[in-house]
Amino acid sequence: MVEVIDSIFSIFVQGICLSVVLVRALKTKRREWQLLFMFYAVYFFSSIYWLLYVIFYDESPAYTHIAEFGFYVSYLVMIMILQDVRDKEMDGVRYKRLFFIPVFTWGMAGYYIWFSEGDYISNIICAALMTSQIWGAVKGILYNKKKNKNYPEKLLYRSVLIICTMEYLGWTASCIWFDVSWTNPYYWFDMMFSLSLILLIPGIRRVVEK
Amino acid sequence: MNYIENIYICLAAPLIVSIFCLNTYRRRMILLLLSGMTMCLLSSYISTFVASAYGMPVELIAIEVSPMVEEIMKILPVLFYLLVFEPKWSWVVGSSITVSIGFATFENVCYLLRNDTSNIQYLIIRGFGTGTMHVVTGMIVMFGMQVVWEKLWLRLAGTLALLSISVVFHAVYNILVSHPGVPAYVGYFVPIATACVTLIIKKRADKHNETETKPDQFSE
Repeated sequence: MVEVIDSIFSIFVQGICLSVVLVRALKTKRREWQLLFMFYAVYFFSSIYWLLYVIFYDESPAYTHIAEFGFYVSYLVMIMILQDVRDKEMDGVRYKRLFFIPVFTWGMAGYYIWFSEGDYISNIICAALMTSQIWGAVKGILYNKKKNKNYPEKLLYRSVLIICTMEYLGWTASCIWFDVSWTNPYYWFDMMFSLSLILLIPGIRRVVEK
Repeated sequence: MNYIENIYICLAAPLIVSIFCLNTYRRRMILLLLSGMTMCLLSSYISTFVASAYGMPVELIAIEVSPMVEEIMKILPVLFYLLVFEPKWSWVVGSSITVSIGFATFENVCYLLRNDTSNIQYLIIRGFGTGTMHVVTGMIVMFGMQVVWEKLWLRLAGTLALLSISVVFHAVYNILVSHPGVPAYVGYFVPIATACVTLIIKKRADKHNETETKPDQFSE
């Protein structure tokens, strides 16, 4: 029951975000909104598929990973958004601090692989996508901080980092706590993750209004 | 037992002949229709192979394997058409839907030959439901392509995103219709509702774009 409530809450939040972004994308015809629409659409339909599967079969999809494919693609779309909004002069700049990011993401992937005793492919894909997302956001923050403290991409970059943090907290909690109840922090992190997706809308709006 | 290759040959024969008799635009449309039917045939082989390789229960094939296989196969002719022929956008618009129509038609014919065809009410619901679902996924790809195709770096990720949306939409439909009663009726209604909403949105978007060039797909 907890899992179903959590999924319904996520779908509700994503559905609202999807509707808002659809209207914005149609009105402004800006690529940033269209990409964000794709991000929400992929996430929304993947969550619905996951929920229906859990309701009808009382377990997670076992053979193929249609929902996971959707989640990974939504990360990829997020990387595209970060790529689209970046300052083009940023490309040639290097920051040594950024190399802490792959250390963290691949370290976490190693932990998840060790914990799950397998599941190499999905953890490797996740680590690669998460590295790119966090890299893009942190690089954007480091680059823009020196130029202008109130740069328009600030909220978008921070939102991406909050989303990634919630995702990692959820994944880690699911390795430690297994009970299907409200005492399991995983469900709380998952709901906070869903709520943090809302932040992308004002984040993109500021970029578009730049 | 259904010999779907035989059905395919029988359906494809008049289309193949017609290719030699038509002008450029109509020939391309027939080729896309034919490629949709061919992809349906190949999807059937691949889904069966994947299911037997995994040792999957029959019930789960439609939910976990078919959506992925069918949508990937459906997007291939569209990508081939875009990358090799580099057509005008006015020609591209219908390509994805035409492939979907070919796919849905062949799938429906195979379904009719395999199952009881006496219940017209059910067949109408199923025909409109499944047919529309394939057209809707084609529309998703078609509309999305116009957004993601303008920049090279967007193409790969954008195409994957569109593919993912169509796969999950297809999978959600299959889950719903595989459960008799209310879920099935909701499932049959979802593609029709989505198609209506999409067309309304498209009409509104077209109104804003009236100044843009008009499609010239029927010109020689």
